[in-house]
Amino acid sequence: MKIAAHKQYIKRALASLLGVALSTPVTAGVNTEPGVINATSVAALTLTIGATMDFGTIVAIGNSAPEIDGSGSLAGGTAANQAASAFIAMDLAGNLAVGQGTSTGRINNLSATGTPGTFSVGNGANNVPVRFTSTAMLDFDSTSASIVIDGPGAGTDPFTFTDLILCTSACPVASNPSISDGYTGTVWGVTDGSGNVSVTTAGRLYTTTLGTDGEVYGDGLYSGVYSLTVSY
Amino acid sequence: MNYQIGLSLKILSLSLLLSGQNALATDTENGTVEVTVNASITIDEITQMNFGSFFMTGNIQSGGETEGGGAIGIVRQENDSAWLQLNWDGTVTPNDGTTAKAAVLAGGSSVGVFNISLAAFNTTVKISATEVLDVDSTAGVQPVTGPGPNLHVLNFTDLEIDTDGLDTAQNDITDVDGDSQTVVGTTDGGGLLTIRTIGRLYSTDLTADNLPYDTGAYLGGYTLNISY
Repeated sequence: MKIAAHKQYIKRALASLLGVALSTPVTAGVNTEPGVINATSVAALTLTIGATMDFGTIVAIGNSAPEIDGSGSLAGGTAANQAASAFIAMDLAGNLAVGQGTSTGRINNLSATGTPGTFSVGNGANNVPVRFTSTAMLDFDSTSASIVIDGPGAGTDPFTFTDLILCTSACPVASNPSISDGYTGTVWGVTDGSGNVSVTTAGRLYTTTLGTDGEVYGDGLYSGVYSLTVSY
Repeated sequence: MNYQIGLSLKILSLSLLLSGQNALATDTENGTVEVTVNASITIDEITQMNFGSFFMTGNIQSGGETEGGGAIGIVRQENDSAWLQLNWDGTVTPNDGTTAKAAVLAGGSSVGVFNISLAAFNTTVKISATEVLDVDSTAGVQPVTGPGPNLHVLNFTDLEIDTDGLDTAQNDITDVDGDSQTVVGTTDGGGLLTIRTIGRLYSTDLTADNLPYDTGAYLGGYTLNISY
């Protein structure tokens, strides 16, 4: 469709050009000066992290072997796919909710609220759609990727993070598309008149099977990294 | 010649115009996810265990009377001592020993109460103490010491723990293999659990046969450990 339009445009332009050019020799003393056209493509969209996503303070007990660890939500729904895991979910307003595992997995939330993550996009074209992608994105099938959230010290007990939700407008309502046919991992936003857009992020943490059935997660700060990509 | 120059410029301008739509830009940023785990369970004593007011005489030293110890195989090992049993309703039952005597004044006694909090929801927790009555609680006897200058001593042991509020001990008395010293309870939907404690005080050999225990407050301690 674009190629056809392109060709049509060229045809019209050439016709116009030929018309002008053919008439040129008729007029004596006319000089032709080539014009210069300059354009600078600024394609460097920037994505900058603001707040760290923080689920607050919890007490947690791991699953029992061989229970299946929770993973991201399945196609056709946004519900936690917890299998045997307990989970803690944060919405984009920082509200926290827990779900308990089927056997030993437990999470007790000790914090009133959590802190959603924030990012800012800059250097974008004005008022244009941009898309955000992440392997952990909740879009009705986020089972493909879980981010390991490790505790302090070597070989510590991990949680998994997935079901990433974003709001790019009308926050705290998630902007994740309501699709039911599988995983796309894409959320759209629109830059403002200055080429900027702000993003808020949240998601779910799941317990995993630890070394001993019903083992308690050790004290300390657990941390992990997820990637978010912005593009046109 | 002029035709060719004009044609070239037009095509160039079209090329720039169309290729501008194909400019792509991507940036990826890593975000951090954090959560803090606090596995420490809180246990607070709400009510101290109190045996109220009593009268008691000590064992006969010269007679070699054996002092009471913790139960063995659920059977109380009061031996030759007199003893006080704190009951779930807060009353105290006195019992004479071989020669030692015991009596109580009604009132003023209370069951020990502890609150467990900040635990995982609906989860089994273990309460342990060296004085716990299970099958053999002789291992842990805590001195309950009176005022000076004589510092007469009672022995506290046979600790029973009620974790369901039904006035029955959840001590693992069926553990016939020995001293497990562990009682289990289950937290509620808010990670809370209230437990109650009772036990026994035994008379000991004092500095003289059949010596009455000195008047005054007797104080001792016992330690509860809570874990998953």
